[in-house]
Amino acid sequence: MTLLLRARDLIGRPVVTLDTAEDVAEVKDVVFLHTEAKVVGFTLNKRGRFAGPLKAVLPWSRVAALGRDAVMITGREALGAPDEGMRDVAGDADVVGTTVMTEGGRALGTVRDLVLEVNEDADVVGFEIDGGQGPRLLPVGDTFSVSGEALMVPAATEEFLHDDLAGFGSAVEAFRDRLHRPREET
Amino acid sequence: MRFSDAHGTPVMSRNDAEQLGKVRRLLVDVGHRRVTAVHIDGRRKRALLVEWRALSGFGPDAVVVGDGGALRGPADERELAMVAGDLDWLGRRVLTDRGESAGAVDDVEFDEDSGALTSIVTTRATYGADRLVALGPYCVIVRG
Repeated sequence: MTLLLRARDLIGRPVVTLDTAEDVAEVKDVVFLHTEAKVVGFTLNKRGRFAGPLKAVLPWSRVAALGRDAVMITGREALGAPDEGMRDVAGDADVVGTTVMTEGGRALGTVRDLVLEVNEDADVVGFEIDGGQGPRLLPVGDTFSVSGEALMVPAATEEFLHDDLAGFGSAVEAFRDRLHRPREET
Repeated sequence: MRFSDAHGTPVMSRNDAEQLGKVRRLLVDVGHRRVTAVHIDGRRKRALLVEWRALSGFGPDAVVVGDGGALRGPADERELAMVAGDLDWLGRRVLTDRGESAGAVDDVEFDEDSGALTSIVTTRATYGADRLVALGPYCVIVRG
């Protein structure tokens, strides 16, 4: 089953053990690797309104399932040190607020949120951006470049801006097809 | 029979026909998906339980404890949590193993002859007991 969701919706979601049905932590931040456009793990908070951050993290490789309502792990031992894939990568907080710039040099807006497609992996398939006319969804390819200043996207991205999550999955597919298709001769 | 029907049923001793108390809750072994004991009375460490296998019958009007069926206290941390009400079924949040909400537990059905759980009825759907994964302080988990 494929599930599209916004990264920000995951913040505060409980991390629940399948063996003891306990909420052992909650998601603090979604950590992703932009060179592969995928989620590599989560940083964590303790549960409860006034609880602070946990030192332990949850690498994606140790997630049993990610649903709309909880992150499932087999047991408490899934929490721990970052794995290789989780080191030296960005959290989604670092990309929120960044300007989205096309390769043609047009600023499309600023990033408000990441759109994730969850199946076996959790891929970053788009961004929610604010370009002045309310939030819009923008698909990304299977890799993207981002710095503290800007997120660069192909010029064609503009044609694939979308208003809501419904149907966004096929917009992403169409967009990626277009990216991978050889440039048409003119 | 449903847990909600079982709750409050008088518990009688077959030996002397006296009432020992009423069913406060049923204790379940999730791994074996069966009722293991009946909580009759008392709180926390002073809770009184009777083993399922010590019952001579679990009927609509009474639960009858067979000869020599001794009352006992909670045997471990898990049973202590259960008799404290920390792992009660009814009203508890239900999640699937895929991390999706499945409502709350409306009731649990069990076979009154064997004590085997048969289904978990939630506010959204009914799950066969074979789909039960875990019961914990946060939720009940079912295979989605």
